[in-house]
Order: sequence, then structure tokens, then C-alpha cells
Amino acid sequence: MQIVANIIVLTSLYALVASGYVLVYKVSRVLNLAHGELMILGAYLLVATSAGITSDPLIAIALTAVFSIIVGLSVYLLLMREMTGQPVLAAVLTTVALGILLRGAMVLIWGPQQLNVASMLSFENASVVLTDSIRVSTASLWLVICTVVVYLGLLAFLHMSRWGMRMRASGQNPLLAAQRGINLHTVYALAWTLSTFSGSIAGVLVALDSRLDVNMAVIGLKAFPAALVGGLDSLHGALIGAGVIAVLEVLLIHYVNPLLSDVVPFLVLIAILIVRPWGLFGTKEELNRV
Amino acid sequence: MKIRHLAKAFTLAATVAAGPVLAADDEVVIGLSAALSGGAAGTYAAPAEGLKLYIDRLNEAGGINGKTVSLVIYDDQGDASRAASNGKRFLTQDDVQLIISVSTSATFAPLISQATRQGVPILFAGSVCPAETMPPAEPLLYCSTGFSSVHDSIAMVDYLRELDGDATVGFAAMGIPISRAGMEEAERIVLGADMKSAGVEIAPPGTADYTPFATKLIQNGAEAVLAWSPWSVQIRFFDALRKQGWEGNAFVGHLAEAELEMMEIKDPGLYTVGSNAMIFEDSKATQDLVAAVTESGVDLHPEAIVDGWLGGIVIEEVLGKLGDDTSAEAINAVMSDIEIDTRGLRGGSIKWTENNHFRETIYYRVYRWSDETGAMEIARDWKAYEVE
Repeated sequence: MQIVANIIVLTSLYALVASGYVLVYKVSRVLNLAHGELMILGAYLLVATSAGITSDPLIAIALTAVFSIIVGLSVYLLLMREMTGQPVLAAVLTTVALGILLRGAMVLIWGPQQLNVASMLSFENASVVLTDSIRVSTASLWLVICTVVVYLGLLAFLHMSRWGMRMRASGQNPLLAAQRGINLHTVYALAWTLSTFSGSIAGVLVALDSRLDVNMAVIGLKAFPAALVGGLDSLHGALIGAGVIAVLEVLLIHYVNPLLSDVVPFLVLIAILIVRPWGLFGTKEELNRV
Repeated sequence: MKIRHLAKAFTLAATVAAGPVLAADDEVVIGLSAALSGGAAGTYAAPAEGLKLYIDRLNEAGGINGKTVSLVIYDDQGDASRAASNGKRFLTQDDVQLIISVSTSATFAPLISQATRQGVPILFAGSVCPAETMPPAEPLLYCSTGFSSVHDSIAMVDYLRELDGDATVGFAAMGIPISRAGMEEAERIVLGADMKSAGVEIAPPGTADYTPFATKLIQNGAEAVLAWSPWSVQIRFFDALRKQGWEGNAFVGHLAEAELEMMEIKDPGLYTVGSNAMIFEDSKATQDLVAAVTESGVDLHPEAIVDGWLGGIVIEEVLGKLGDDTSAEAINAVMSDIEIDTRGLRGGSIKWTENNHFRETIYYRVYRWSDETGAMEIARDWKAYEVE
């Protein structure tokens, strides 16, 4: 049963990170390849907040959430806004450059050493006994809870709120949406803000669970197959894609060869791209053929 | 926020921008290729800073035999291609007489191939010791680093047998050759000693969650776990075991981050096995090191720089035995037959001979946190192991 718990925790992690890819792609068709870096920037913001503003963990986490919203908004206003109307490839390459820049800046500011964020915040990441044979850490439990809350919140927002519907409309047909009076810049800014916010939650919880260093940005890359397998513009697809990748990874570690766990998710990704390039639940679009 | 990192980056940039260093008669030029940034910097940047601090102090005190040491520092980020580029610059622009590596094993091959072609010796002082430094040693390669995956593994198993010879042992490694080699060797020794193995779990680089690996070790009945890999991986394996309520003992390699982390974790079941002394001992040797760091005003943790500091001691002793000839060939001749006093930072001296550029005898100590005293303690004092 512990394996099932491990699968649920890993699914939650990949799903929470993948939701950030989906939000930005769904609205603007831009693949944000700096999402892993933005995710761990959230965790470093928690370090900065707890060291420089408040030692109270709850207030520090709340302030970090506010700062991550500001970061997401700033990324759009200062950088990605300029990419509006440019080829998608230029925007994607801009996110690559942003990721490299953020990674370098984080090393310069916080150093290359691994940081024990839980200890810095006096957060006891105790083992929680769920049943006789299932134990998870406190941070992992919060990760699962937060993922459920974020997904329910996002689905409700996208389908039931006015701004959510505007975001979906802008993603489906930006020209028509603009002609109907929807301010595309506001919608895109909202998508980047929500994406960075959800990524930051993942970054903070991962850092509380297993420490923090710049290399953790690679988790963003590992969540990427989850988003693509599910379909880059489908939120529930990302959840299912995350489940597929997590099941494969955990079962390979347990029953086959742990080293395959690093490779097979990308093999699945390639297979999906060949068979169904828009993913399991994505929208079939007009694709430019090579 | 640590603005010091910005200052370090500017210092490094200034070093690089200064262009080729021309060796004067009264100086020895040494190239240092180190992982100052990038993924491995957490382990290697501090020892490199420690080495630089030692050399700076030597120069301030008038140098060695009237000669100053010019240290040319390039960042290789733990990356082979950057190390290759650094090696080329050391040999073609800077005209170095000795190269020092404080970086990942991935950077060794390009540095070694270029330096050996030109007859320039390489000292691994903070990098893991390559097999070529061990008997039968390659002529130009030397190692003073305190950790070595295979020897550390031998010492770990030996201590575990003393503590609990009946334990079923699990092994945690990272998917890089040096880590796997250490743990697979440890498993061979365990099985050869009629102990039970719970298997070797190898986590790929960039693993997001170590819990599934830990689950497998626990379900295989591991009562003790041995780990040898970069510190970030060792400690995440340990965290993942504890998160699942595992109560056994874990034995890990003593790397640069060990002492600071152990004082934070405060877990008596976590043992580090290594050949460097720890700062908490407050011995004469560690007091000197701490005083030097304090005097320098540099924002460094003394606990993390021991291997770099020892590299500085090696440089001082080698250059102290040089005559007027400070060529690479003369330096290599001295290094191939020398015994270096480690001044209390190790259990014994570093002795290099023509055939052995690692050490003839390696001494290991075991450390852990003590709940009784609320401080770090020596779980077992120095024990000598012959290097075959």
C-alpha cells in the first residue's frame, strides 16, 4: 500500500507543476520552459521572506504566495508582453533564456549550497501514519491537499467565473476574443500569475519536504511529459498525465530497474507525440507540418 | 540574501578578464579548475575557496622560499567541456606549473589528457580521487582529497560490522559511475562477510522524490543503509527513509556539507564515515583553521573547507621542498616522493611514492550526533586501513 501512497504523492507533485504549463499554454499557446525555475524561485522567496521579514512560518508562506503573484505578473509585464504578436518560437526561446537567467541569479543570490528550508522555518516534517502500512511526510500530505484544492479552484475558476471564461475564449480564438472586447494582455497576465503561483506552491512544498537547491528546477522538466501526455491545453488531462507518469516511475523503481524511471516517461512522451500529438485530452489543432 | 555571491562572481570575472598570467622568476603559477557554480557547487565551491584562502595567507606571509604562488582560478561548473577549455587556457595561455582540480569526476578526463600531454602534474584536492592516483599510479596525477568511494565504503562496512554484524544492509547510490562503484563494492563486501543485502538502489540524477527508492529498501528489510553519493542525494535518501518511519542507522560519506547538516538534523542514527577531522572537536588544527577564516573576514563555513585547506597544506609542503627549479617537471619529481604532515586535520600523513599517489594508509573516523550531550561526537576514533 505504501507504493500507492508514493504514486499519489508523485502524481500530486507532477500535476501541480504541470498545471502551470497548461495555464500559460491554454491561453497563449506559449510553452513556458522557465516554469521549473519559477517553481523553485517560489521556494527561494520563502527562504528570503523567513530570513528577512518574518520567522513565523505561516506568515512567511502567505507573503511568499503574494511575492510569487508579483513575480508572475512581472514576468508577463516586463518580458512576455513584448512577445505578444511575435512568432510563438520567439516567445518559447524567451522563456528558455529567462530560465537560464533565473537559475544563474538564484545561485548568485542564495549560493549553490543545499538549504534545509524546513529547519529554517522550524517546520517539523514529521512522518504521518495513515494506516499500519502507509506513512507519508507532513509536507507530502500538504502537497496532495494543495493539489486537490488548486485543481478544484482552477477548474471552478475556468468554467464558472467570468474571467475564467475569458481566459478560455482567448485561448480558443484570440482574435475573436479581442473583437468581443476582452483585454488579451489582462488575460495573459492572469494566466502567467496563476501559473507562477501554482508553481511556487509546488516549489515551497518540495523544498519543505526534501530541501532546496537550484538543481530542483529539473522537476519542472520531469513534469513536462505529464502535461504533454495529458494534452497541453487540458487541465484534467494534466492530472491524468501526471498519474500515468507517476505510476510508471514508481512501478519501474519498485519492480524493474530504478534507472529506467528516468527514461521511460520520455519514451511515453515520444510515443504519445507520434500517435496523438495533441495529447490524450488536448485539442486537435491545425498543426504546421514539417 | 547573500550579496557575497555577487562579489565572488565579480572576483571570478576579474580573474578571467585579467588575461594570461605570465610567470615571473619569483612566482609559481598554479591553475585551479573548480565547480564554483552549477549543480555540484554545493560540494566543491567551499573547498575551492578554502584552498584560495590558504594560498592568499601564504603569499601575505611572504610566500614559500621567497616565491609567491599565483593562483589562476576558472569555473568549470562541474562540466567536462568547460574543464577542457580551462585546461587549454592553463596550458597555452597561463603557462601553469601545476593544475588543481576541485570538481566533479566528469571533468577529470579532459583535464588529465591535456595536462599529461604537456607533462604538467594535477592535484585533486577536493575532487574525488580518481583510480589513476591509486597503485599503480599514473605518473602525473595526485590526490589529497579526504573521500574516495571504494575506500569509504570499505570503512563504512567495517564499522557497521563492529556495530551490528547481523544487520540486513541496504545501499543507496546515485546513477553516476563513482557512486555506483562504491556501493556495489560495499555490497560485495557485505555479502562476502555473510551479511544480508537488501539491494542497491540507484537513483537517477534529477530524481524528484526519493521516497519510492526508500520504500523499496524498507520493504526489502534494510535495517541499516549505506550511502555514498553527492551529499544532496545521500541526505535526501536518509530523509525519505525517516519520513516512512524507518528507525535504522544510516552510514554516509563525510563530504564538505556533512558537519553543518548533521548539527541541523540532530539524528543519532546518521553516521558519517570519513578521513577529515570535524571542526567541533576544537583541536589545535581546527582552531587554526577557524581563526584563519575569521581573520580573513571571508564569509565561509570552516566546516566546509577542510579538503581545500589541506590542499593548501600540500602545496606549501611541495613547494617548500623545491629548489630553484620550479618547473612542472621539478614539481612532479617532489610530489612523487613526499610525506605531508596533515597537522591534525587527518588521522595520519599523506605519503606519496612513485607507485602510489593516493596514500599508503588511510585513516577513518566515524561521527554522529549525540542526544545525550546535545552535540556532535566521535563514534569511533581514527582507524587505519592499508591501501592496496
